[in-house]
Amino acid sequence: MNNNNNNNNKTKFIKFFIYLIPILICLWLLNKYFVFTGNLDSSYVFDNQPSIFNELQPETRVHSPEINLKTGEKYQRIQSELVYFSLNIPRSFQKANFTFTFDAPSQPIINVGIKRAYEDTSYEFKTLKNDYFDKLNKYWTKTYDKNNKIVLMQNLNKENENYDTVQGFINNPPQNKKIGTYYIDLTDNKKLENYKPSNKINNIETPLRGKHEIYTYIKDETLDYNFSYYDLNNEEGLDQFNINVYKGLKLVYSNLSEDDGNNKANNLVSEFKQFQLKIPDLAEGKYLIKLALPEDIIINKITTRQKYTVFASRIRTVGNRLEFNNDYSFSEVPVKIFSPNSNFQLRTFGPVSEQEILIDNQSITLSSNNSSLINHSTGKENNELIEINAPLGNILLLAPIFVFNKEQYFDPYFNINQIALNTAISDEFDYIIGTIDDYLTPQKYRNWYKNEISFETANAYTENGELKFAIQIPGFNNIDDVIIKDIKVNLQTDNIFKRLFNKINIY
Amino acid sequence: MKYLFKTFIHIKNSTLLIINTIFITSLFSYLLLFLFNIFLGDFITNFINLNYLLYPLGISLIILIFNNNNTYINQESNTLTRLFISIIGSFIIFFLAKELGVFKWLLTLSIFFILFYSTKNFNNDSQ
Repeated sequence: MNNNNNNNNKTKFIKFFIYLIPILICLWLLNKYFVFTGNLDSSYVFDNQPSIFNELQPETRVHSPEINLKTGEKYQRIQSELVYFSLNIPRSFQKANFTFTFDAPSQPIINVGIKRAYEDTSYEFKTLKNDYFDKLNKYWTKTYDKNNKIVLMQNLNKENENYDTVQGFINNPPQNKKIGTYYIDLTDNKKLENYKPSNKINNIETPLRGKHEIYTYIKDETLDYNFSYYDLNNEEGLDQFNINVYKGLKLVYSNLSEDDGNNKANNLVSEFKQFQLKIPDLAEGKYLIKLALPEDIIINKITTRQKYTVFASRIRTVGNRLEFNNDYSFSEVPVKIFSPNSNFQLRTFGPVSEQEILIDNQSITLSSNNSSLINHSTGKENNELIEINAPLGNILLLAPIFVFNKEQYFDPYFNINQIALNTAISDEFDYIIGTIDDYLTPQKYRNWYKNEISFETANAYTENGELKFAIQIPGFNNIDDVIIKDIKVNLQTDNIFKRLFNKINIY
Repeated sequence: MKYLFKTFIHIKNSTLLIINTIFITSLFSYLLLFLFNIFLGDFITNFINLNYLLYPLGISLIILIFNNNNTYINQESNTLTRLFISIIGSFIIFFLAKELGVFKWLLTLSIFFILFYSTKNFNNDSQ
């Protein structure tokens, strides 16, 4: 009898432990969900273990995870950039601290960015690896700002003015010197002398297709643009009017208008719609308006009160819409554009748009057989505005700057020669200035390199509860030598008591 | 000899009782976590692999089937348990069939009644 009781007690004891296991799992999961301590850790190690990381995307830009048979280490190679990954987060966090274990012997620069807004160009990048910075030779000096966030490098091989402080350089950058910039916009604080707002209303009546970027200048005036547009519905999916306004690298305005309700590829053109961009009380300076539009959206007219409207990077013109409702076609709209640049890339679309284009009185034949871009150089280097005439329109032009009217021109780069991120630091540069934030030199770890990188995540863009990140490798030469071994993240927020206290305080 | 046999039977019963507990616990844990995973947008599977719960569930089920003493399987199957299983089961179906429109309600109700009454019959059979 006693023995039986003993056994029953043992059974009860074991049952208690069995019940305890799921309770402990649930408590552990509750801690993950509510993040009681304010810290949530996870890692991505390419072995299909549960993780808040989603896989590196798109699949075509990464190899399948591989395993080193000698060491048993798993890793993944990057084929081309940009590569994206995201984190499934149960709540908002204030900071994300990443530790990357990687190897990239031939790639001088690797950046990791966090998505700040809807559009794909809104990633805020930080440096994971920068060989140029780490292996700078003795002919360069480094000067840091007070907060150790910006570094100015000066080339001692050249006879340049020597700047003692970073702020002194930013306030008064040298003219006509080769300056390399790294995540910094030197033109952000530059002002146009003797600028006065215009009283005139300026119209741009050349229809434009897809994404465009506009530089303008504001001083004691409202940023005021009206875009008249319509949706072609040539391609399937939402066609939203997405507009973002930047001052330097800072996003000051973002808007995403609704689709016309027709997201099918049925060629039913929409009614004309208007988007009024009005932002009062902006500080004086240069602003960049990014129109991140799909190719289905045609801006048929831009009306503005701004004195200067300069298009950057790309112009894609189309004709006027001839028919409405069931079908449409485009009439020919001759295009007259001006540019201070000497090198262009251009093409036209379709046999009806075969034409002779005049660039600074030099004739170029655009054939519809030519589906790739044609390079053209005028050979001029004096930055004077030259005229481009396309009698039939319907062209794509690539160059740094365009204007539709000479009076609308100003130099948005203020004569500062900016360089691309992937340009090697060679002696041809006079100065290099860049935001380094909390950049640390990667540390050797066995056969790999480790580095840490942190992002403020409180105002980051989330989609379906996912924080989005990108890995950028400027000038990636596609020889498969960027290898990620693992990514660890520590997400930080206030502990639960502080969060509850804050909520009570709000009410 | 009789004592040894009694001890053996007792150990066997105790073990089956424990296995039964493992079965019930892992079944309820799996169903609950599966349901929460649907509710919380795959949050649970970001941290644990739910399939791991199927191992104790499957193994204990097989052992219980091969030792078909209904006392163990149905020991804790009262009305409340049946109701619990039926509600969770129909909830899961409701979320999985969310694209079926009005039919999802029909399907959910059907699953609820099927689960509830089939487990009742199961109990009756065993008694």
